[in-house]
Amino acid sequence: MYKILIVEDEKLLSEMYEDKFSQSGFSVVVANSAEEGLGLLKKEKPDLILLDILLPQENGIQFLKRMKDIAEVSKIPVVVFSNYDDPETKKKAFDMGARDYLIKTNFTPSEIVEKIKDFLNKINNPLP
Amino acid sequence: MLIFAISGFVNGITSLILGILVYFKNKSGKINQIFGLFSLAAAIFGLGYGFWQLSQSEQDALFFLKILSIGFIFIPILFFHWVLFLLDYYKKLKKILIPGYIISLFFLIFLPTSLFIKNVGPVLNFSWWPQAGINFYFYIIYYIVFLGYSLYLLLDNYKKTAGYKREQIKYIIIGTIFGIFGGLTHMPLWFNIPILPFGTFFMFLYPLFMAYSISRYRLMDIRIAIGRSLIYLFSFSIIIFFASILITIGNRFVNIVSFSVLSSINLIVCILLFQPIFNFFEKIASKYFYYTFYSYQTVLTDLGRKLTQVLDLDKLSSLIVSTLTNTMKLDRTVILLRESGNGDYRIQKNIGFREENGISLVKDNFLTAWLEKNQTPLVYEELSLIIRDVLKKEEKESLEKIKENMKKIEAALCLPLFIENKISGMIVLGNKISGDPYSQQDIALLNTLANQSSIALQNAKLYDQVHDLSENLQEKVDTQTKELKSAYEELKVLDKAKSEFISLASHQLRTPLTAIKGYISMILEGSYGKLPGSASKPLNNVLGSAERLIRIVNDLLNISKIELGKMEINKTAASIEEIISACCEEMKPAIENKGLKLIWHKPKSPLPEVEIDKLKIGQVISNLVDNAIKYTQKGEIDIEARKTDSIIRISVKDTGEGLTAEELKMVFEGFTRGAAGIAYWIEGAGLGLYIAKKYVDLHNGKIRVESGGKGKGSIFYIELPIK
Repeated sequence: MYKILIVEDEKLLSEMYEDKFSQSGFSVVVANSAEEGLGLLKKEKPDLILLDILLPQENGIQFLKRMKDIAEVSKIPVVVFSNYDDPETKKKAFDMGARDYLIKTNFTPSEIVEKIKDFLNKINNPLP
Repeated sequence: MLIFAISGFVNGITSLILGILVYFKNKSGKINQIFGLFSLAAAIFGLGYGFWQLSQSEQDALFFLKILSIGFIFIPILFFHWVLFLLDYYKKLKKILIPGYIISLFFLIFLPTSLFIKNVGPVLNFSWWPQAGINFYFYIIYYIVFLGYSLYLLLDNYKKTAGYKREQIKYIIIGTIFGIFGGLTHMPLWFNIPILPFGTFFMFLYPLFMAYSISRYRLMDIRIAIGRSLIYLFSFSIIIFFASILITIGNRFVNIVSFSVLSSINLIVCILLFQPIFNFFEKIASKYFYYTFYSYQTVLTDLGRKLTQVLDLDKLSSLIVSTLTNTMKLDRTVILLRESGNGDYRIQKNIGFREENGISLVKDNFLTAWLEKNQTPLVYEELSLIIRDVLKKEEKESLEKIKENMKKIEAALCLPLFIENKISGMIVLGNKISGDPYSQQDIALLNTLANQSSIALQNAKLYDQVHDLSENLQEKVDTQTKELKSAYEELKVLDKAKSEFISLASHQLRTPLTAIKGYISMILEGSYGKLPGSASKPLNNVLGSAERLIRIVNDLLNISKIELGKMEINKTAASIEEIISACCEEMKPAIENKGLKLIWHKPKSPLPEVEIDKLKIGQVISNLVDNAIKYTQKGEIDIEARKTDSIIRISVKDTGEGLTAEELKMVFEGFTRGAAGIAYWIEGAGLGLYIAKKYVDLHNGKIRVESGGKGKGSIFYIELPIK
């Protein structure tokens, strides 16, 4: 069972994704801000982080930066998923090590869950 | 007596020559004319005197006495008249002239009578000396009054003036005294007072002093004339001397060669020798007689040459001013230049003048206008006479003002600098330290120099202006560049702000849309419990609407990215067939729903791979197929792809509504082409084709449409370059 950390400030959406991921067999931890997320990271050590960009106070990019400085958690894969479709931000995210940048509206929650599942399987069971 | 005769002739001839020289120097000048007449009178006196002394009979004596009397009757009044001109008292005292002339005429009329000359008889050693008649007593009074008053005026002026004018007056006074004295010494004998008229011997000094003084006064400047006369005199003398020697030698040989041959040879030799001898004397005269003029000439010619070499305005003006001051030994010089814009003067270079004085002459426009009209330098000494000849009152007053000013600041000469007959500046010169006035030649030389200087100064000024202009231009360009840069930076910031805004706006729009899509899809999937069957369709409609909104937001975001130039193209090697196949799969449900047929004419041999953004080109093809489905009610949609030369052409053909000619024009315009475009968009074609075109453009490809018209279907083509 995989554990994922969802960093999303919109309660409306975070609840929705939490529901879907839970129903799909994931253990879900939710943070509503970057600060909260970083705190939970060390404690929970999830297998993957679903990170929104537009967060209160610090944004997703800063989260990525700060994450890098914490040795134990710096290697956890991050998938950015946000409705903020800005090329520069995208570039920055990838530079910071994000594995993907998904636009929320383009996918149903099911589709997102599928993507994450595939992704995690590939990481943990790399094909020879 | 012979000696007196000779003296008389000498006096007469010198006066005559002097009078002729002065008169012909400037026939129109009043002062020259009067002096001419005066000299004529003196000449008549002198020559008459000479002949009288030689007379052998009483009649001859009386006759010549009367002749010479004509001369000396007019001498006092003419002399007085001339002095009035000289000292510029003409206006003041001309009233006195009328009675003066009347008196002279009176004497003249009564000359033939014995009222003037009673008779002639021997006195002392003179055979025929006149005896005074009554009129002669009056004549003496008249003589003393007019000549005395003239002398008084001259002395008075002498005390008042300074510098060169003082010198002139000095010599005139000396000459006049000799003249008057000479005249006076004649008179005693008329009354049988036994005093010999020895003054006669000194009378010729009068014209000599006059000549000396006059030659230093530019107005009747006959220095050069005297010089040339002397040269001729010397040349002739030498030739004649030479000729006489030849004749003497020739006389020795008159036996061998005939006289006429000898004379001819003599003549030829003399003629041939004249020119070289004349040139020789002229050269000597240039060197020594006109020494100052000659040396000026060399220096100023040198200066002329140097003027062409110096371009710096400051250096140039310094050069001109210092050369003039040092060569002509002036006490002050200033160059004034006119600004090109407003015509104001400013001091360019000054030696000796006080700053405010240097520019005071051009405070008003009068001097400039006057110089431009007369196109000639203004000499202080000449001003009195110019003023006298001017008729208009205002002009007279203005000239008087200038005269006063020039006197105050001790300026002697205003040399205008002309560019195309307009004044571009002025060189104002002070007096020569020596006290000498400016001669004609000085002025001519200065004029030439002025012409050269004005051009050189103009060039230097222009050079400066061009230099300033280019510096200015450089500055302007730099400022503009800076402005442009900052405007560019601002625009960049604005750009960034715009794209951030769009991104933020779309984010805000998307959040609720995500929730709608997400929850509805989960409900439909049964995440929140079993769904009543009847709920399925309505919920799907909701989902469809949400998708539509999402698509619109995506389109808007894409368009703004395209317009801001921020659309990225991620090119990878791709197979067109794959993309088309995938699209067909995607569209299958919609096709089947509408009962249409979709035929993908896959090429037999595989197409080469193309470097394209798979996602975007996929979107373009999907968009085309989507439209085809939307606008076709029945029939089929054919998709083809083939390679032609260096491009791959994809075509999507439908049997649908087709497009009118109008629509064909607008179909790719989106809403950026005004009302028609907006109408098209609103009616439902959407931004898809607009974006499709932009995507294809970003690939350097082409997209176009053909249609037979309304109801005749349409074919959309996409052409992509392979490389």
